[in-house]
Amino acid sequence: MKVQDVLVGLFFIAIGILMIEYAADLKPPRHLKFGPGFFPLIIGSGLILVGGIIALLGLRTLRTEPLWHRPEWSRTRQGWVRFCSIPAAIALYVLIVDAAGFLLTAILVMVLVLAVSGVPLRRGVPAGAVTAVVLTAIFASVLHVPLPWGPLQTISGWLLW
Amino acid sequence: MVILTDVLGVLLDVHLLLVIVASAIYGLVLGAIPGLTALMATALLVPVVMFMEPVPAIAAIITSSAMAIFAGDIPGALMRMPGTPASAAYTDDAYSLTREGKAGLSLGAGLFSSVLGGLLSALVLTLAAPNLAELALQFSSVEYFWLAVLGLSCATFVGGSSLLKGVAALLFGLGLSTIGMDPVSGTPRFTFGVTNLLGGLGLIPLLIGVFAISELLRTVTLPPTDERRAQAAVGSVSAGMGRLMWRHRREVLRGSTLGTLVGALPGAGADIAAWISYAVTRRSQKGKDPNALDQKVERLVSAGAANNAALGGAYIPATVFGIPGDAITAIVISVMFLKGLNPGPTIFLNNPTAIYSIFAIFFVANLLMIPLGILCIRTFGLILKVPRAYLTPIILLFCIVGAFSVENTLFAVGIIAVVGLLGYFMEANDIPMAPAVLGLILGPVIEQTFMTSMLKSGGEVSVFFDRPLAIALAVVTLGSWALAGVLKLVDAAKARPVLT
Repeated sequence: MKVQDVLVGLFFIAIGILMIEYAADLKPPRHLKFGPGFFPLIIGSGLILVGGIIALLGLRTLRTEPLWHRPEWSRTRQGWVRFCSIPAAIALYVLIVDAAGFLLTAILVMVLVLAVSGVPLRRGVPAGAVTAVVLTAIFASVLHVPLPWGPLQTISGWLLW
Repeated sequence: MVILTDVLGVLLDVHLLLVIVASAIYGLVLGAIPGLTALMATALLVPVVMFMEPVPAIAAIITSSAMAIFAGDIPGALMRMPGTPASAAYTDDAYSLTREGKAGLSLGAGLFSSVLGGLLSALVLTLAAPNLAELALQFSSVEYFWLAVLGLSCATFVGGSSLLKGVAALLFGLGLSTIGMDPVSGTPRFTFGVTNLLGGLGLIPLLIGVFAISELLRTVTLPPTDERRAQAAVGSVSAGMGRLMWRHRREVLRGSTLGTLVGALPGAGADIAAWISYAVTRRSQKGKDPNALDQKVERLVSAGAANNAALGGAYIPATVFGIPGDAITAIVISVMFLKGLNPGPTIFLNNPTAIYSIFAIFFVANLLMIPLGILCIRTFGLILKVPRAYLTPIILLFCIVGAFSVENTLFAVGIIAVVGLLGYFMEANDIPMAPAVLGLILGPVIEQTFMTSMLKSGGEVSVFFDRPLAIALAVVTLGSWALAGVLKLVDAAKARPVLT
């Protein structure tokens, strides 16, 4: 989604103000002239300055350009579903992986994203299972990454060596 | 002589050779798939190389990125779809050769010029880096401060179409680098009570988010393309290439030199090197028919040599000063730190075998590109048969597990989603990512060297102009700012319509 430069400038100004506001509370340690707030203060000031110039230059085209330009994909429901499937799949993983374990969660994530792309369940589930097992073998068995097992803890020995 | 024997010992290790071959195949496959970049291949490789010994870890990154950059030429030449942005400059020339029934010539010229560009830049890297390191040993915190500022400045000036947005992206990256504990006093900043933020935003999850997740977001929203087209008969890729390279030696040399120089410039990577080399060669062809076979090949070999040479060039500032030349070397620097191979001039004194082995791997990887590159061209049809729909969730799972395996927290997995969305929106609004990433990596260096210098001098700003080396670097840095400003004004004046 492309937005007008005035909004881009305002975004950077807002971040700059937040940084300066936060940095003002960071006092330097005793006997030191500069403390932890000094560098954020410089960066925040820079962001306000640059954001201000971007916004000012954006004013020149404010009347001729829309405030935001919707990308082509966002005109259909399918486009939104495809776009949101990626962050949604990550959110789903974070929420359930500890309880459901990596194997089941990975299969679910794979099936979800494949379904959004139009791949039927009868193909998505086996593809998800194979990918999950291969990833478990690489990361849990070979690289010893502590992937959670969830309810499949009892069969973890089959894939760990 | 002792070092040479040690390096040979390291290179002949079967484990290292297996890593090189495996990462070469990985890089070739990912680079050959349109939409998957060398950078993405590197970011996805990090979680795996994290668990390797230092030299094989860096070898895997060098080999896969070099292979991916070359492999991007293959779909470019056969389907007019550059596999990586580094191949975009000469895709039209390469594809038009294919349409004329000269796919073998197009791909062979790309392959052999890539190999020569890579080898020449590896030679420059091996010869220049130790000499620069000797100079860098005289650097104090002040010189490192200026060098980091110079690196950031270059990254901003070459990063994108808008200088202002580049500066804003840089400041944004610097701002993100202040999250966590302050490097001087250890005070928590911008952590908002979240313990996971005390150590700062993990660099690897951030890179995975910025480069892999944002790319996935772009890919899933693209309309499906017909990837079965243009499977032309390739013919011989290697026949007559020795003669061809000799005939175009000037262009290969020009591309390699430009590529190495541009690559060494912080922020400018293989794609910019290829575009510059392509433009310079095109300008040198004034008065000749640009559509003639020889002119097309000239442009192709020049840009093809440049993009692979840029990779070696980027390792010069990365290994000597610890300043990344591009986003791939930014990842390499993080991996080097994590593996205890701290980049900087002292690495040549403390760990000469490791650093010279890394340089030697450039030669091995580029030579290996000939047989494996030919194999990749021959099996390209098979690579394309991997359906895009299946690739997306597999890459997504790799990103998730990769972020988790580096940090061992689900917080890191959440970070990749947030940063991926942020990267997507930044790119959609022409805000370049390279300055933000370099700001994030160089932020702590700049803050630490700045604060150390200020504390040493008791708050006197003149400390930054006290030593001759510091003055020289300050002049170059401030001169680059002035030059960027002047060039911007000239561009603006040229763009203004002439009123009569």
